[in-house]
Amino acid sequence: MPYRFSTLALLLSLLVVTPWLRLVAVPASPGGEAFFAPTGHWSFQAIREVAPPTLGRVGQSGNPIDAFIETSLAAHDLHLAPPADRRTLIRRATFDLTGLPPTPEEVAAFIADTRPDAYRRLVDRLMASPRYGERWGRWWLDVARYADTNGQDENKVMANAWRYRDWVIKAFADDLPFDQFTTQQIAGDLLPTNGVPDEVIFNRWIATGLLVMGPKMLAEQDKPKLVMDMVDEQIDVVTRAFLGLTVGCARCHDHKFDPISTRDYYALAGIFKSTRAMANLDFVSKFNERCISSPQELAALEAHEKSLVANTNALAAAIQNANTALTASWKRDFASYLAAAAGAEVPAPATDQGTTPARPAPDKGLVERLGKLLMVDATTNTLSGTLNILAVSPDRAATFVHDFEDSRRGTNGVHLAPGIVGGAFLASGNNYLEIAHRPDLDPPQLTMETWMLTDEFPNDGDTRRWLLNKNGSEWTEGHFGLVIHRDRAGVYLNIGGGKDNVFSVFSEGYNLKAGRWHHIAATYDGAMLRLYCDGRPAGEATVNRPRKPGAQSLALGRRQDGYIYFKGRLDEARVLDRALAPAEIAAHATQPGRPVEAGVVARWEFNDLTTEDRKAMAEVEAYDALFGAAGVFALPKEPRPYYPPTTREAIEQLEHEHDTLMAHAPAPASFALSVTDDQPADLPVHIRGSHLNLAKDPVPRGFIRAAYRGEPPLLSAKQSGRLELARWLTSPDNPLMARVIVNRLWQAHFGEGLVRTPDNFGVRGDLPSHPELLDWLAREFMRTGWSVKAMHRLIMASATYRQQTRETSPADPENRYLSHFPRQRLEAEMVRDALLEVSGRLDEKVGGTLVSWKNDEYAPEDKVSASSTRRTIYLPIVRDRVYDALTIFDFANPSVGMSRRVPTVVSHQALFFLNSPLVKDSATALARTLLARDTDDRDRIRQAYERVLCRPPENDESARAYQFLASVESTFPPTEARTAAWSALCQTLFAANEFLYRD
Amino acid sequence: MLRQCGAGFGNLALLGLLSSVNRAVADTAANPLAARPPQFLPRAKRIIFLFMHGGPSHVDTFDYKPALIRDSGKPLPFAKPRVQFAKTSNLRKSPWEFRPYGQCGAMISDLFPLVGACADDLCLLKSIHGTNEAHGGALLKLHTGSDTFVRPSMGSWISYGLGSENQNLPSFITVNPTMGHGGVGNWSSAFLPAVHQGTPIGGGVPVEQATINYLHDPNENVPLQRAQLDLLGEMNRQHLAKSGHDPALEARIESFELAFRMQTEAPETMNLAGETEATKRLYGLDDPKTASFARQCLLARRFSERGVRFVQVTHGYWDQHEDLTKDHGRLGREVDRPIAGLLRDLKSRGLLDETLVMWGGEFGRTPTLQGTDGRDHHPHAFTMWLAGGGVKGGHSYGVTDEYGFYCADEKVHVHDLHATLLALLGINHEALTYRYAGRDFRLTDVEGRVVSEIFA
Repeated sequence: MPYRFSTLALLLSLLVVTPWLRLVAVPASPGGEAFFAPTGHWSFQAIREVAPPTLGRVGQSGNPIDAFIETSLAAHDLHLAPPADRRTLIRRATFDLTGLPPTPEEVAAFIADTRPDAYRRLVDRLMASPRYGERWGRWWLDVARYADTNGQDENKVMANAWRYRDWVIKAFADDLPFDQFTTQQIAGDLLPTNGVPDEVIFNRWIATGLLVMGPKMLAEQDKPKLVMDMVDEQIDVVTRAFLGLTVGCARCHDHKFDPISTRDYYALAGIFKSTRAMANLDFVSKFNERCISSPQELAALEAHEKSLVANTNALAAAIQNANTALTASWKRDFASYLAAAAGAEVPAPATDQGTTPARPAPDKGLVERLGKLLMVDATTNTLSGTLNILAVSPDRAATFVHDFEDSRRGTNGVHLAPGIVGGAFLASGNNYLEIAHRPDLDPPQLTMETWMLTDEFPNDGDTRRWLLNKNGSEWTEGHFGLVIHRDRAGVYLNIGGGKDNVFSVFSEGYNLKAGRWHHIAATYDGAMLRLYCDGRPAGEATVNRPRKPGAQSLALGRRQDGYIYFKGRLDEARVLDRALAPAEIAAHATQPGRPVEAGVVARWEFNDLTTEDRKAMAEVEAYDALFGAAGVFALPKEPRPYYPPTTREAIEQLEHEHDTLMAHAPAPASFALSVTDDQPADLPVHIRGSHLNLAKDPVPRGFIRAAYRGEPPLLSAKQSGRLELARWLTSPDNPLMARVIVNRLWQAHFGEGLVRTPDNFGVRGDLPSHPELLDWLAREFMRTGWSVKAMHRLIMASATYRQQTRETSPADPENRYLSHFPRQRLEAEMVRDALLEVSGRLDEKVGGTLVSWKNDEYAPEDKVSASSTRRTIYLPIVRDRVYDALTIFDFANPSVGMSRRVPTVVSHQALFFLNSPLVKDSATALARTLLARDTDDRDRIRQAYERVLCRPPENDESARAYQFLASVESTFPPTEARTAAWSALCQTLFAANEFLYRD
Repeated sequence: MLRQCGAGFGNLALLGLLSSVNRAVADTAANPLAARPPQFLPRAKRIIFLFMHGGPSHVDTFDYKPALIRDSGKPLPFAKPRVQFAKTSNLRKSPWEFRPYGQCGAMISDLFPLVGACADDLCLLKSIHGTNEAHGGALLKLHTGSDTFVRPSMGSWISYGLGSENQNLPSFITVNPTMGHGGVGNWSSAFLPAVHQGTPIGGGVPVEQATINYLHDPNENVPLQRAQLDLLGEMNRQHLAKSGHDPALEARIESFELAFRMQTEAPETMNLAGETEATKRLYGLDDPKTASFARQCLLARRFSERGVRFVQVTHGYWDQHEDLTKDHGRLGREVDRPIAGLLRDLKSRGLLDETLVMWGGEFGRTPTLQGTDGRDHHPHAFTMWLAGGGVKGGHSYGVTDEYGFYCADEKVHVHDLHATLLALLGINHEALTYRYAGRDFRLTDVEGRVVSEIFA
């Protein structure tokens, strides 16, 4: 590729963006199964027992690491840099172990500590700090691609993911041996449980959250593909995290470079396919979770639930009974009320020889309302006429309510009520009217209309009510009908039969009102279905198909097939054999009394009334005015003041019990992202990775053959095989895992690993710069019981770690031999945490979740991160919408597990330091703190430097800062000048390279 | 990575001796966004992607199917795909008339009369096909080439490949992006260096309020900021002198000056006040129906003419499972004039030759009916079009079957589209790679055919 060197610019770009324009070199596929046997590639060979080199002139530190490093340095004519000063060393060690800068007091104490083991004490103190688990837990979370939401197509909240995060933090804080740390994440649910406390078992389940945490295409409609994609993601994360291998390549073809075949892949895939990580495979599928509340907690929860239900039921029943009794008492005492309203003497209520309490005197308010009805001119108003007659005939009044109800009871008969004009059909909720089928009732074009009044709209269950309709249900060929749906009007028309041929229109933005007459109409002209409410168009739908007639009756007051009944009044209901024009509909709605003749094929108008009808209607009207929904004696919204005192007290007692129960409610059941074992099954190779193209024979579940020695493992036929997988990973014979983990630990301290491709130890990965050291460290790691803290102690005690940073030597431009300590940019979390820490704003609370969103809901905007002052590890990680203060500083993409973040330098980072609220607010907070100190400005400048940069200023720096403050102050009004100038200075210190890099 | 840089430039910068000409060279060392020459002679320098989120129906826009009109209401005479998003019924003709446009006589529906008038500049690709029938998967497939794994977006790949022509603006900008259906995944750099991530402008806020995060100094105090930067520069240079040569430290010193300049240039670019009334009318800024997308298209031109490599503007929501006639009609009215305005404006400024405009959604819609007036998702064959940037105008490539259901000939998979876009920019899609997890990844994975038949 000659153009590589065509211009200087391109050359430089190559240095920055290394692998750009590299052609994929595909070697000839190595033939035969022998390729997949243990091979000569270094990482597949057993970890050697290596003795540290014996050194001549060096080795004062006595640390074996230095023996390895200095030997290779000497071979390249290089040597270690001088030791870093104490100030540099404590800043380096504190960031390394806690992710935070040291305080000025800690720096001073360390400098003053003359004990020979002062440094060892420092390292031990830092590892014992709660900040240690937070820093190193985050180190693992990159590899585990930790997130609080699913990402991908359906970004659902995983509201219990944080338990895994807190488990990881605690594991590091407690120095949980790394082999156990591994086993619990892969197979924690399969470990023996005899005599193990619940809490420990739950923590092991939580650990397996690793396998559920990945991004999943939840709405993938090819569900078998979804499952295999998830298996693939699990294989990818597990093999990358613990083996440093990219096994995922072998899903479609034998690995192009590494000795990993599709057989190996499907042997592993069988293990994960035999593991359940999804709770369901619905349209949008749901990830798996397990309940981690103890049986005692669940029992308490259940008991509480029961008491609560009992209490709620008792309360509801008490209120119901009280209301029933109240209404009954009003009905019973109706005559007394009427007499009182009419101004007659009210006889004292009878008592049974004084043993039962006297009935309460009629309520004044009710009497007044009743009185108003009586005052209307009885000659023009039927209602007041009826009531006045009752008022002068106490006997009839006494039995009126009872008689009226009695005459209605148990009958489905048809009753009339006052209509919009004349009478109306009184639909009781179980009666209806019907006209038998006739062909002319089913015209090709039609209009339906009716007046409608109801006291309440349906709110529960099926919230539709049919008013006027013909031919079965809305799914029946030929069905047409007017309906209400809650407080909206609607029309159905079925053309062609079945659910798919239902046309409907519901009124948009027009709500019906209770207790008011509404005119509802719909027309169909063979093309458009139109709906009208109160004479105005309320929606339309294009149908464009001829309607076929049905063969069933026309019904008023219920769906024709008897499914559901309307309650209320219907009047002036008609079917016409033509589609009325909007103006005609409007006329019907404004002039209800005007006769309609042309085109009417069916009508219920209730205007041709007999004397009997009118009398009956008057009674309905009177009863309605008394006990109807809007009547004088309708149950008031707040009926409690009308209850007898004993009833009231009983209800209050129940309410008090309810409050007490709620106040002592146990915590809701807890869940954790976790897997469970499924039916164990071997998988055949999926040819070219397709689940639709399977090889004949299943591959027995197993591991990577090239990386194990001895006999193939025997996997339990009763379990998925994850436990055996974990045992194999953590076995001392496994050539990869210990190397991969110590390499990552090394990388975290030195910025680069001994192998600089930490997630790829395969053939295409980097070769170790110090293979003997890597093996020695790996053995040492296992020898010390997989203790991560022991590795910190070992590495940090070395002279290699404690040396200075200095300019890169031309003899080793990449500093692979470590002739100085590499300068490293602060990681994203360190930037934010350090800003909060030095400005005194960091909230050091440990653990718990900041995610207040509901589990499995779509991830809302993250409004927490920008306002929280908790440590960064506790902020919600929303996949695909990660908080930008983190992504700007190269936070690892939480959808792909990766253990190496590539630091960039871009102007957006500079904008962040110039303009972000986090930086500005921190600067102001630090400025206020400094200004509040009782000291002079020189000393404040010193304090600012010590807090932000961990060192005092040089004289010239101090003078320059002083001058800066003065010049800024002069540009502000006196009241703001001090804070503004000091904030500006602190912000500038934050922006300094010295703050953002650690030496 | 940064520490691999050669020595020297930092010291120059330190001494403040750089002219603006060789500053660009210094930026290369510091800045992975510095412009890089393509691998071979490019036909286009940059891309504007007009993304129609939701999936506009190809058989109602650019893929004219007389047989669909003839057989409307009849069942599809061959098998539907194995996996379907939802059930559809019989064939359904378009509610819109199609008519011929331009010299080429391309048949375009009445949804796009003004775009139709630009037909002689359009290169219709009528046999695009993807694999995923759900929005999220299809968006990710179209933007990243993968509906299975997290991969860099095409804009990120292009930024990585070519850098930026303007150091004061991001190289990849997405205006009003959709936050769902993959969200950032659609403009993410994934494992590429984060600098290649698309910079979102807006999304969830009205377009006229959209801006770049942290761009504005909340105190609006330029002299103070300048004083801070001067002090900072002194501190950093002093620190550098003690540390010795370090490209990262040097790059960071320069990055603050870049940021300071970006604060001026980016808002200036987003301010449309300087545009003439005629231009505003051309895009449709004067009509409330078209104003929102007009603003996006005009922003796209302004970013593009200042050298931003990849500008995406998003419009939606073209997902008519129901009410196709009403809502596709409304959506078409919202974009027709702004798109035609953009094409005409680019042309009259002489920018269309070097700017590739691409139009399309994540999939098309079924030629069969869903519900009473809807069409379902359809990734099996749909239309996108290109204009300018070295493609044939007045051209049509790719054929679907007589109903527009499956691709029949000259098929163009999403991978092929990506390969073609890169080729137009002068990049061999097989050679634009990034090493991640032991593999050299490509935008086109192991697929991709350059559709050179459409090259002018």
